[in-house]
Order: sequence, then structure tokens, then C-alpha cells
Amino acid sequence: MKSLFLAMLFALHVSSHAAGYGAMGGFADGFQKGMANAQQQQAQEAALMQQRQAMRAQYGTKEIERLDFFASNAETRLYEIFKEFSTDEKR
Amino acid sequence: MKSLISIALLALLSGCASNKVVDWNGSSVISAMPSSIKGARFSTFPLDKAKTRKVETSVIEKSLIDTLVANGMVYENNPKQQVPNYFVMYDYASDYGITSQYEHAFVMVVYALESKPRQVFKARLKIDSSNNDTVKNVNAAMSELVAKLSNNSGQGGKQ
Repeated sequence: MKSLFLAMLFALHVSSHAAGYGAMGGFADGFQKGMANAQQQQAQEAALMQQRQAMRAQYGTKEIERLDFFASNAETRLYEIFKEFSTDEKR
Repeated sequence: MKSLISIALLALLSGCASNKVVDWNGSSVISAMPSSIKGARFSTFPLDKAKTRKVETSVIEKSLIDTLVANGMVYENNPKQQVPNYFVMYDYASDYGITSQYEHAFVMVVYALESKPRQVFKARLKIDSSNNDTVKNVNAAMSELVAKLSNNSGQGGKQ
């Protein structure tokens, strides 16, 4: 009974895919279209990655580079803060 | 039915896990927070002076103060009058990501004021996100960092 129910579900699933694609070939056609969709998605992701790399090359990293510069020169900033304190005291 | 529930739970849990934004492989936590930091007074300063007056900075600073206070430190509001034990310096930045849409970074450097200032803690977090909300992502990463430090208190090294 359980397997019959599962088989019905599977058949419904396949036919709904075939109907959705407006295809005549049933499962095989749906499968082919599914593969094509996956390839298309992969191509889209690759294009997006390329776009991000191009954006980064053009605009990016500057802010993070600036952060890394400040992080490696933290002591300079610390002494600058001490200097600000003593300047304020003199006023 | 039981397996269905397990699958649903697993999906839900992995969904929650993906909300974590810190890329720990790309982050570094150099040295452990000193154990004496609990109960110690601290003040916060942006590493980048140019960001001092930015609204983003004040929101991130407030979150940093709240997080550290929640972990037992005492905030010193007037460091000129009452010199704190620790100087907590921080910075944040945002860029276009490579593996994710956006990449943010957060840096926290702590100096202890002894006879000579000594760097006692440094962390640099790499944050990958699909949204460009720097404040939200940095604040979440900061809480994650402090929680991690509280769990590993006394343990140092790169994480």
C-alpha cells in the first residue's frame, strides 16, 4: 500500500514537471530540461563571481586595505590618543 | 514519519547555522583575552580617526561596549580623567566579496596600560554576507567573537 502510494506520488511529480515544461517527452524531456536549468544556473553563478571579482578589482579592497593598515599601526594610534589627552589637559 | 521530522529538524538547524556570518578560516584571533580583563575598566577608540563622527561607528561602538560590559568589564566613559586599564581599539570595513556578495571586516586590538602600553589582544574577523548591512553584520560577528572568547577563556592562538 505504501509503495503504491509512493509510486503514485512519483508519477504525479513527473507528469507535473512534464506539464510544466509543456513537453511531450514526459520524464526524459523533464530530466533534460532540469539538466539544462542546472547548467544555466551554474553559468549564472560563474558570471556573478566574475562580476564580483571585476567590481572588487575596480572599487573593492580599498576599505579593507585601509583597515589592515590601521590594524598593523595600532600603536601609532594609541600614542596619538595619549597626545590628544595631554593636549586637552593643557587647554 | 520520524525520519521526516528528523530531516525537517536538520534542515532547520542547518538554516540557523548559515546565519553565522564569520568566516573563521579567514579570521584570526591572536592571543587570548587576559583573564584579568573581568572587572577591569576599559575605554573604546576607533582605529581610524576619520570614522570617529560616523553614525555607523557610534552604533558599532555602543554594541562593542554593551558586549564587553555583558562579559564583566567596566566601561570608563571619561578616559582623560580616569585612565582605564585597557584601551580597546576597533575598526570595521566593507567591500564587494568574492565568494559571497559582500565582505566585511572587523578588527579589535586591546592594549593594557602598564609601565609601558602592551598589546594584549588582537582579532581580525572576516565576515561574508549576502547583505550589505555593515552595522548588523559587524555587531553579530563581534558578539560571536566575544562568546567564543568566553567559551575558550584562557586558551590562545589562532582560531
